[in-house]
Amino acid sequence: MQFNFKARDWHNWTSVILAIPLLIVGLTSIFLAHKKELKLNELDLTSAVSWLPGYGNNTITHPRTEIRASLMDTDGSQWIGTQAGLYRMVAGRSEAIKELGDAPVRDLVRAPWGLVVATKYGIWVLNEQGWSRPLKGDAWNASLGQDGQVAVSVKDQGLLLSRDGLDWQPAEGVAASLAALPPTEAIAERITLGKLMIDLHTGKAFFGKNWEWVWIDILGAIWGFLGFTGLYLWWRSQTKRRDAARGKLLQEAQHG
Amino acid sequence: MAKALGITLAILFLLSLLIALGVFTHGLYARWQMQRYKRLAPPVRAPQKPREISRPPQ
Repeated sequence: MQFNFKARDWHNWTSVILAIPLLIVGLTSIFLAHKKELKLNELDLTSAVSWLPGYGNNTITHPRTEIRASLMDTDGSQWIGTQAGLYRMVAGRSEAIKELGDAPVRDLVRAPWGLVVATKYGIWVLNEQGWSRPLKGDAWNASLGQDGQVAVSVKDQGLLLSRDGLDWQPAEGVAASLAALPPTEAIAERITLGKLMIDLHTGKAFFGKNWEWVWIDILGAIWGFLGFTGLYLWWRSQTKRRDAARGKLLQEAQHG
Repeated sequence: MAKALGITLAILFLLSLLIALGVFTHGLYARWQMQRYKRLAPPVRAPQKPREISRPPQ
């Protein structure tokens, strides 16, 4: 038996099959690099993309069972914060809090004036008037002080304090005192092998966090370009060979 | 503004993917057509080598 390995054929076919994934990975990386600027996470496409194999029913409903926070309330009920919404458990039955929707819950605090829920989409408060969201933002952690104040840490806004749940003010001096620490007391970023690999991949190692998009954009565009040109060259060769075969067939038919 | 730009770019991305899929499918179709034309064509006979005339040993 003779093993006839045609390297060029294998190379050509692998390239053609890889062209579409190459395009997807290359072009989507540009979107990932500008996710915040383009506000891509504000567009909800759940129903439009649920047909994709990776987004089966199990995947979409799974976060509901991922519990991230809980609070035993004074009336005996229990609040359960999940990766997809807030639930109240009374006598073993859970009830979804519709106002919060599918917001990922990070923390729960019972203050004298109401319940505070720190979520990815902002701070929610339940008081006598019902549910409200006095502040939008990526809230992480909530804690109750002895004076009845609640402190919530919010991404890009720092530590915020409130005495009534409606008015949230930055905690004065906290960020300034942290920034005023001498450089010797500041913790330097640890670069592990795993982090180095990620930074080499994303371009942070060459351009820094603020400019890594340059690396991503250039490589993504090149990948997209190579995908398109490769596909076009293959398509052109196939149509030319087809035309040649058709011409030859017609010629032979004319000559009898 | 930024959101509209994101949506526009996403639509362009989807369009380019659709075009790429179309080109790929058309390439496969052209290849299938080529093989069909080759099957329909009569087999080409290889040119015969001139026979060597065996000579009796002298």
